[in-house]
Amino acid sequence: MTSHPFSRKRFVRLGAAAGLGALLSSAGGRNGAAAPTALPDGAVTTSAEAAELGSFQGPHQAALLSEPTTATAFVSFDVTVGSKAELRDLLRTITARMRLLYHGGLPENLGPASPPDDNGILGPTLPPRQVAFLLGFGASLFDDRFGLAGKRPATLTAMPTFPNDNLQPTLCGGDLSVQILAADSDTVVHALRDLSKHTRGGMQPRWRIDGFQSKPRPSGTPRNLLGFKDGIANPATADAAEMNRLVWVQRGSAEPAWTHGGSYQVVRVIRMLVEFWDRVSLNEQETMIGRRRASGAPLDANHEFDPPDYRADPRGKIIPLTAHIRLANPRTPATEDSRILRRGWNYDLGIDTNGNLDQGLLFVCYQQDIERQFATVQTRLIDEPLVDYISPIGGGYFFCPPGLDAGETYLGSGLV
Amino acid sequence: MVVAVAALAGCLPSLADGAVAAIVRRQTVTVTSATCVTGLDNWRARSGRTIFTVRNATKSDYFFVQIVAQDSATLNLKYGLLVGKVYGQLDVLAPHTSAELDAVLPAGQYWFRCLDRRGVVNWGPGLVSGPPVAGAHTYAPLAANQLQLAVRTYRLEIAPILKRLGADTERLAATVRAGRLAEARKLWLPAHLDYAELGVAYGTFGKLDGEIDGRPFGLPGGVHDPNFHGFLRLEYGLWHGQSRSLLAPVAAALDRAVHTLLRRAKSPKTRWTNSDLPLRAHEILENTLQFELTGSTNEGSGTNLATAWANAKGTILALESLRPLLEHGRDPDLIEKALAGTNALAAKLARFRRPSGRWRPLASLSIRERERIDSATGSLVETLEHVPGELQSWPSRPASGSVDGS
Repeated sequence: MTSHPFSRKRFVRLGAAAGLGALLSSAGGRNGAAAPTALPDGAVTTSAEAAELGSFQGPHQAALLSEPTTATAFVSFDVTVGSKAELRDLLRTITARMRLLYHGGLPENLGPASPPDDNGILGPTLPPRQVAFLLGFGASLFDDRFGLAGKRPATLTAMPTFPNDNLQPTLCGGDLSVQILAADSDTVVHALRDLSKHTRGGMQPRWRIDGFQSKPRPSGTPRNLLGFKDGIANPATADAAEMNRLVWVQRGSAEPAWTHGGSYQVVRVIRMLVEFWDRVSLNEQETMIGRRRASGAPLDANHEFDPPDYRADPRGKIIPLTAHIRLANPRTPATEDSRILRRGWNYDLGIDTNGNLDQGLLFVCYQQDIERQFATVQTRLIDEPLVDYISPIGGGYFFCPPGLDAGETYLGSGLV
Repeated sequence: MVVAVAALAGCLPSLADGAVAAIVRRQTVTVTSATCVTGLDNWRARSGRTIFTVRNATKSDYFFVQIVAQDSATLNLKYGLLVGKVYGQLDVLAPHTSAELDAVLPAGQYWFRCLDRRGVVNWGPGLVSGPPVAGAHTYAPLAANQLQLAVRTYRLEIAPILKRLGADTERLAATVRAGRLAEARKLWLPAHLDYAELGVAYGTFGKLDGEIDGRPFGLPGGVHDPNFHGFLRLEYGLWHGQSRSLLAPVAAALDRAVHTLLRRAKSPKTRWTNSDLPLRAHEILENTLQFELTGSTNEGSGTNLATAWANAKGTILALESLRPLLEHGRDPDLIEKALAGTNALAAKLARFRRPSGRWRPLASLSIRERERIDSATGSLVETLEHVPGELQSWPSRPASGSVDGS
């Protein structure tokens, strides 16, 4: 791990409260070029990056590398249209609505005979540049309905059941994934209401998990609901070479041409058995994870971003061989290409039938190749000690198409 | 400010790529009883979108305010009648308040039309000039008797269904009384579908609807509550092994309520609210989404899809009665799209009826089968939502002190 913890923050921090003023004053979107704008945390957003979030122009979907926002909704949809032409209409509508919601402004006046165009949740004028979107295609979209079987991304399948899973079919799969990202929950809900109102004839929500990202407590990487800092060791999003090696599907691979610049998205809804977890000693919790709960430091070091030194501890006397961080990323040359870009949000759905808190982790990760990366990591994690305290209950495999080339007008242009 | 202009296309509303920039102007006007508006002397405006802040500075007058195009309008100031397209309206503006009236105005001449308790006053014409504009939406209000004609058509259309309903509940009640409960279970559905096809969604028949097709929600005892009556109560009993002696009075009461309904529907004294018909054309299927496609009104027969199918047929009846009015409205495609969507939905639902005549229970549908029905119904109500607004009438001159702002 060579990444500097803050280098990735070059990218737009949607919703970083301190950054909003800078985002608003930067002339992204339709108003032309402006000098790069420094965010208060030292990150820089350029007008080009802001414009990409709104236009989807560029090699990739720009929101994919942005830091996790405070609020999100991950929604899986099934397509209900009957033909390829209607699927194209649906993708056009989705893209157009996403752009519109990103740019904000005064909603359209539909006249005195129609209900209002906008649901009003964000007030009479939509604030600009407050929401970003990610669109993904599920394996089921490539079945026989639209003649897309020959264009399926090479490692895109339905998500298999892993040995420690407890998957509920009603929380799995889907033809499309839409992730909505914003600083505030009302912004997320506004966008979801708008998007579904305009696409009812074309797709139907299948499952949805809303997530939130915690503040740094007291500093550094935000914590998950096990109380541990989560996502400390990630590839450097600002390092283009690393992204090309680990995240983006490359030209010259065995993948169909339309996928170049896209990325595989794996989402897992991981229930945490938090009552049980809270009845476990701190020492046991820390050896299961491999880090100190208070600081986030690996058990063999002092600071959150210090790399663990597994070579100095080959028998796992300090960080057990079965610790989560050690299995997930053994940090050897042989496992280097299985690293994933990991994004997590906490979720909290209320209570289950027994009155236990129904909460956990909305885990999302991106990679160039699901087999080489997520599936390999997940296989290493089979039967890790942590599995007694977590239970994957849903999710799916999706493929996020690239951004738009000049002349292309909707996400998935290369596919349909 | 940035305004995006959407256009309806195909089954999905799609947008022109990117947002269309448009200038929004703002203008403040004051309404008075004497001249309708002040503050617009020699008003000349550019075509496009204007948001008027309309102030009512009077002490006690309530106003209904519209902006009406003069093109193709017949103007008769003497009688305060103005027939033309409405581009914007404020349904009620109370004393000492102001509100926004948002209108996209193409080039042309416009009148402000104010209605208060004394009657109608028009101000105009104001001249709007400039290039053509996109995104102007309007409607042509109906005269009150136009809806009356549609209601008369609708009443003729439903007369045979009412008659059939009466015969079906009569036979159902007799069968329950005779203790032939297996046969009663077969007779229950056709009778219930008769009623569902009437689409009595919003209580034209008032309390009777509760006696004929009341739901157990809101009753303290739920399905066991003594005030649970009608088709669903009978369904609960027939499909939960309740006895003849328990159910015979339930079926008899249902039949009585239906025959009261038939008498009222025939009676010239029964007052039909004309504006209910356009509302019903939209809202029958809103109820279908809420109560049938969720399965929440299933009391054992598993026939929610059949009820939904009858609701779609009821919507078709309402739409057909409104067709002549909608065909001549601002959006003649609306009625075609609405009818095509409703017919397609009815056909989709009909496929869940097995050759034996029995309907598949909602719970037996796969996720994708349910999604297709929900999607078709959901997109259809997004179309039907435009029907009531399209068929608004001119507010009539109020008979007594209050403003009819409906």
